[in-house]
Amino acid sequence: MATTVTAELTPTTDTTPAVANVPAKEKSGAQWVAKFPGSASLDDLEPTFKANATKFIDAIKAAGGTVSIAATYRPRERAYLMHYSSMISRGEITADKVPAMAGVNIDWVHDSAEESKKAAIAMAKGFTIVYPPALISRHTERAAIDMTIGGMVGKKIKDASNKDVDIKQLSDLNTVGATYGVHKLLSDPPHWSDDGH
Amino acid sequence: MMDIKFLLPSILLLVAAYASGSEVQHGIIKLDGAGHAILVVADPLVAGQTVYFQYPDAKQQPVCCQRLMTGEFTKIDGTNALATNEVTGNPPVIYSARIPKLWAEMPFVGAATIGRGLRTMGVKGQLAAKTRQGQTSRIGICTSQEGVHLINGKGAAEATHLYLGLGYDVEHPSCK
Repeated sequence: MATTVTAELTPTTDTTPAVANVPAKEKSGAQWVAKFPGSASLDDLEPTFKANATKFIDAIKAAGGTVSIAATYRPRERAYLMHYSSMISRGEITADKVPAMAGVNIDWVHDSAEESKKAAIAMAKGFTIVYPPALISRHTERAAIDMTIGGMVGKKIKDASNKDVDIKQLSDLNTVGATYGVHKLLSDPPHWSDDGH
Repeated sequence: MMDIKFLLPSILLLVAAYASGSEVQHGIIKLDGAGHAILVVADPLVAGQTVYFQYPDAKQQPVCCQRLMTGEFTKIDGTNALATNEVTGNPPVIYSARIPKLWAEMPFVGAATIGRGLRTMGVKGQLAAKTRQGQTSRIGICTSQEGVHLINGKGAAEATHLYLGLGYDVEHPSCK
């Protein structure tokens, strides 16, 4: 549980005591995994991409397809926690060398290096990290969506210019998505973004 | 003498059993580090076969192999698994199993080969297998931006290509 430390600061020119609330840092550990959760809501996307993705999904549904959204926005704070807990757990950085991040009041340093690493391992395990996570992505920038699209093969869909397009295979949707400003990342089947990355 | 009406089905059953016994398929195995495994395969598991799968060494590198019988796996709903079969476009089949926690103390993803009486070994981080009939295979996992791929074969001869999303962005994708 976080506690609050109150410090009194007294400037030399104005002797009226100033009060600043400085929240005490919370030690790293598995309890951080539940903080800063990711979203699967279109509402958490950047406004332009949200509008584009919504139109594309509406077109898929109007054509008789199904869409299941798995992820939209992944908070930078979560990416930071994942990135550095993974690095500490693999011995690539020591807890005292981890840069701070605004808005994430975590204390990576425990009473010993071994305890710091143990806490980071508990976090990495809780996040189910297998490969080192990235700090920045199109998801952290509110510009990507992971979704499973079904029932579209054999259907006709309208592209952004209202032209009918036959979907003979699922990849035919890639060019349709592009007309809406929703671009496919070919290496990852569920992933679409504002720039294809 | 046995009537042909009875003999023929028996022969067909034997041939089917032999054929299924020689079949090999490949899959992605995900271990959560807490005693649970998820197996992603293109086709349903065949009873009586063995699932040979990679597990992590002390440095979290894949080594060969742990084994479970197919009967130890339970089919689960894979709707939220973000798994795809890139060869057929059909949804892959997903199973879960309990495993000893000591097999993986941290989350891990590796390759799996399923068959009967296979000889398996690890080769440069990959899983190599040889059937009783001498058929060989060698598979491994690579990472893309957000998931892992298991690919067997190339181009038009690609026999297996399974994808499993990780749920986060990978810093250094390894697929070429």
